Amino acid sequence: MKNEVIVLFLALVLAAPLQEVWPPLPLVGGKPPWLAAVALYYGAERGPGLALVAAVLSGLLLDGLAGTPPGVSSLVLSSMLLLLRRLRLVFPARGVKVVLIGGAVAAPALLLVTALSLYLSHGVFPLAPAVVVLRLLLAVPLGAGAALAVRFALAGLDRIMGNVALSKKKNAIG
Amino acid sequence: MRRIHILAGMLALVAALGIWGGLGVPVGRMAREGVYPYQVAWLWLAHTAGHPFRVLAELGHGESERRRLAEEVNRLRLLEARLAAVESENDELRRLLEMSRRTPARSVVGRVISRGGAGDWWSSLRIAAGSSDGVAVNQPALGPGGLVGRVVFVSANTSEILLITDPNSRLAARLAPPLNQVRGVIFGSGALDRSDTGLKWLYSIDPLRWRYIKRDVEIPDDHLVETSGLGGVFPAGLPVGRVVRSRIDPKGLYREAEVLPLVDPGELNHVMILVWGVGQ
Repeated sequence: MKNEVIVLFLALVLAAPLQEVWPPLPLVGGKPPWLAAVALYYGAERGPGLALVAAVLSGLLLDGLAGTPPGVSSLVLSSMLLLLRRLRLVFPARGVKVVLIGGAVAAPALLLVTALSLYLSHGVFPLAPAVVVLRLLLAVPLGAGAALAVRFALAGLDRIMGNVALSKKKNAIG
Repeated sequence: MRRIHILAGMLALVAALGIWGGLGVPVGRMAREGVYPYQVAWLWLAHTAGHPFRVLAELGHGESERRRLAEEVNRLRLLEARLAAVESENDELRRLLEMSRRTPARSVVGRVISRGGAGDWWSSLRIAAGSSDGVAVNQPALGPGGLVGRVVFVSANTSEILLITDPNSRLAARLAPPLNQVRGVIFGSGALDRSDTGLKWLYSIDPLRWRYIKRDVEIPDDHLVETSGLGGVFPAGLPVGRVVRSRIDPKGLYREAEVLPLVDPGELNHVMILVWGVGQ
């Protein structure tokens, strides 16, 4: 458990500055959702407790850094984790597939809810509707790509730290 | 299952407090200050570690006899590239220094550490200078040659600047003397008319929209536009951009103009904040 917390801390410490310094896409803007991908990895590969901690922390960090209302991203990511767990009960997909689907669904969902929360809190829509639509479309491959990259990186780190065998036995679905 | 509902309810409450309860400022400050050292380290690593990797990559070419010469050429190329980067940085800083001499207020220069923030919702820059350097919300931010934006968020070591090119940006502007009676409001470039074609995506910088100018005034193209000081946020006389073209607005009540900013925010590496209070 201690090692799992260390890996989570490392993941957040690496993903948060990466989320910040990653250059926006040309023309429409937008960045790969690195922090959300960390939460998705824990949702797909770990037990509900650690997954929830990862979702809440990633969400709060994302909101704090992006200037969006705090708590909104945590709520979306936690809901996504619940959805992922349901998905895994219905479709017996494992690892990579779950993370890919999760990334492709979570990134646009996060974008949409955050845009709505910005409108509610600031009274203005930060981007033109056409740009939001384009970003929603781009969020699908960006989300899937980021989730996949983070999944491989963290799975490797977890293997090095000896967390994989432990978590497989301990964290069954449900 | 009940625990999940309670948890979902709590998270929804936190989100609602985030939207309407003003939790954004403390959470934003904590997150930005917490990430700031790692962000600076990341940038330093990207900047410095790139050189050895490039040298190693270049070393793969050539045979034993040519290797030394190739190495030498590569070393000189790297030096030249580094020199060009230093020269460009030097030029940017020198022009910022010239700007600071022209303005009476004290100024703080900060390095750009992030563009667009984590979510890239706003056209913004984050710089490595904050309240510990005297920076406060609503202070003007200048680049080499002109106005870039204003400070909208400050933590101890970082400041967020909303660029004048952001669709939500507004600033009171006038033509530079001798036509300084011509005034209006400049809107960020996102506020484009529906008549604009898709070609606008090809612009490197979208022109700003200058609106509510007196209808009967003739505006010469390429004339300098500066802040008028009427909005209370920016002091008067800060250069903003140059007029590209003007026309009567579709309703026929006012004249409007396109203004090309003097500074390309995408090229900025350093930003100067005027430590200036409203009313000064």
